[in-house]
Amino acid sequence: MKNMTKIGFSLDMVNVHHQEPNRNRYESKYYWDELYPMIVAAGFDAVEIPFDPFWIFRGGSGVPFTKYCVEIKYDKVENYVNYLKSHGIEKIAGIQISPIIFMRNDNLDFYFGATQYFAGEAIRYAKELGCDYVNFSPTPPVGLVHHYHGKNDDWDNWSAEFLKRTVQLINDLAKIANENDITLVLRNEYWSFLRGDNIVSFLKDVDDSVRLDMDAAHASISGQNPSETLKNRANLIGSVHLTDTAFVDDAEIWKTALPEYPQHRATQVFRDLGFGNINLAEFYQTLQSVGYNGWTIVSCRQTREPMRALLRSRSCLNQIIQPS
Amino acid sequence: MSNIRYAHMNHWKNIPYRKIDNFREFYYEDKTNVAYYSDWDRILRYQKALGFEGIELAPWDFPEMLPLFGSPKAFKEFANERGVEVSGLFHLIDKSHDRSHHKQTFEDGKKAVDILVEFGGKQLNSAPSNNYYGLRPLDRDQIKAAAEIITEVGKYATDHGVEIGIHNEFFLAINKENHKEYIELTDPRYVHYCLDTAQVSLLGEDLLDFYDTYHERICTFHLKDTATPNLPDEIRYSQDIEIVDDGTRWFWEPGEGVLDFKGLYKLMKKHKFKGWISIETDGTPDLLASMALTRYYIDKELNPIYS
Repeated sequence: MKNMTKIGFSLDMVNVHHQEPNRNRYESKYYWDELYPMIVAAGFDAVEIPFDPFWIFRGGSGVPFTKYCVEIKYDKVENYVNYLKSHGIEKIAGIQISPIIFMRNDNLDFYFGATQYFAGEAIRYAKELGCDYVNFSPTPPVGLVHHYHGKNDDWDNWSAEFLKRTVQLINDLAKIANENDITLVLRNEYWSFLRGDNIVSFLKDVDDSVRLDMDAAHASISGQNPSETLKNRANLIGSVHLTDTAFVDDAEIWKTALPEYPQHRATQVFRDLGFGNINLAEFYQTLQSVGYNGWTIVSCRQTREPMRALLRSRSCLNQIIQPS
Repeated sequence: MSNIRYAHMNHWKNIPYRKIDNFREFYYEDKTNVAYYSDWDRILRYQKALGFEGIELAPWDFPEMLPLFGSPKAFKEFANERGVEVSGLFHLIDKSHDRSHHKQTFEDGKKAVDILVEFGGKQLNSAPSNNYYGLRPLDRDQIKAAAEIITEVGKYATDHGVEIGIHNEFFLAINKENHKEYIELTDPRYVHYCLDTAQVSLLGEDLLDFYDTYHERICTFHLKDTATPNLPDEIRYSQDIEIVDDGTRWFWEPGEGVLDFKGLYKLMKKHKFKGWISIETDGTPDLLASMALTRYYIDKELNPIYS
């Protein structure tokens, strides 16, 4: 069987929101100018870019995570795309956006209004970048939502209403995506209201054009076998994330406000590729066997060192990809 | 009892853990120094060890800090247990030049005062305006509007035991040409001044002359050095200039730039300054190293002059 898999690398490996020595580099353009050729040197010619409105308000336009930032540094989006191409990055496969930034108070109108506005912006921006998809997290972490809204007496009913509004939000975004020839894909995170198989039934309530993302680590932490889940959802998949983890959620960390950081026992939930426990070779072979021909994005979102993550990932891929 | 209490302006970004109990295990996962910068327990212990008994917070800390701790009060108690108290909070007087936005600006100011009170802090250090780029020079009426609204927030702050301090920055719309005019238009009963030594010098003010002139207004300091005072207009007025494309730094640890801190401390002694001084090392690649370097300079060079 011919290998149809298109592989890209997610720029979410650059952790701009958390402290570590030398983190300040990430806010200046020179860091990214140095990074792009390294991505190519590691054998990747496509990327996925996070869309992070924080960098609109913060004034840190060196971080290329919004249209605003890119237009300040490159004048036009087209110039940015050409800049990447001139450095060997041929394709921006997709954009990922999470509404977590807007879950910061008890005002749901603010949450839905801001999310709809900026996710719409992300989709239109994706069109300009030449992307194929926008990967959207349908809900913030359950625990974070509960932090701001948990005082409601009937949490179950409140949650049901929240998800009804989420359906409307996603249908509105699907309309924008369809108008821009972008596939809207829903990310199935282990901390989501829609974790596990909940997202499959949720998908029936939204526009038919909306697809699912398949993320190996998130599936594993949710208690699913990533390869089996991939097989079962093969006809629903719009994008794939090749991720690794050794984390087992035996303390319902998924319900906490900061589920990426288990407070009872600190750990790097998302490991560099090949440094967790997921059978990535089997997962990759399953991608082939189900005939998946969309984008597969390598993500090392909690890596301690992006440059090393690139090389570790390439090393891992060299082991799991059999020559066709 | 010292006249000066030292605090650290929080630029740690998000710290995702309260307290890591499995420190060695966490370290061994990847054997990097990330383990050393991931929990508030250790961050606050570093501060205490280096003699910074205050922490000045900023609004960008809250989206993770508040869900992590549950409330400002919980963070306050956690910090107090480690010998650190919240000294202040940074704030932006958003769209201060625009009276049509003042109702919202005032509400934002009230919220900032209220949350600072919950944290137990006293200093609301406030940027007086948005950036110069995009606004261009403010006219006289816009400067008056900006002074009016910070005075209104200042009245509310004063009523709640908080001192609002103007914290000017070299790239803001209140800039070299209208900085003093703006200060004079604010009401000194309610509006004080947080003297950021580097920002004011980058702006083009003479640090010692400025302090000597306005010492009665100055309620606190942001202590930091710069190697490039008196920046030209074309830099100060350019877009998103705080973080430079090539990694140029505007801010350095005291003693690593060119400012006359010994002269400043002689003036503090003359004017009998009493209050919080926050060291601020935005732009450093290593906040802990900067903190230690600053502590050494304070102990060796500045404390003998005034403490």
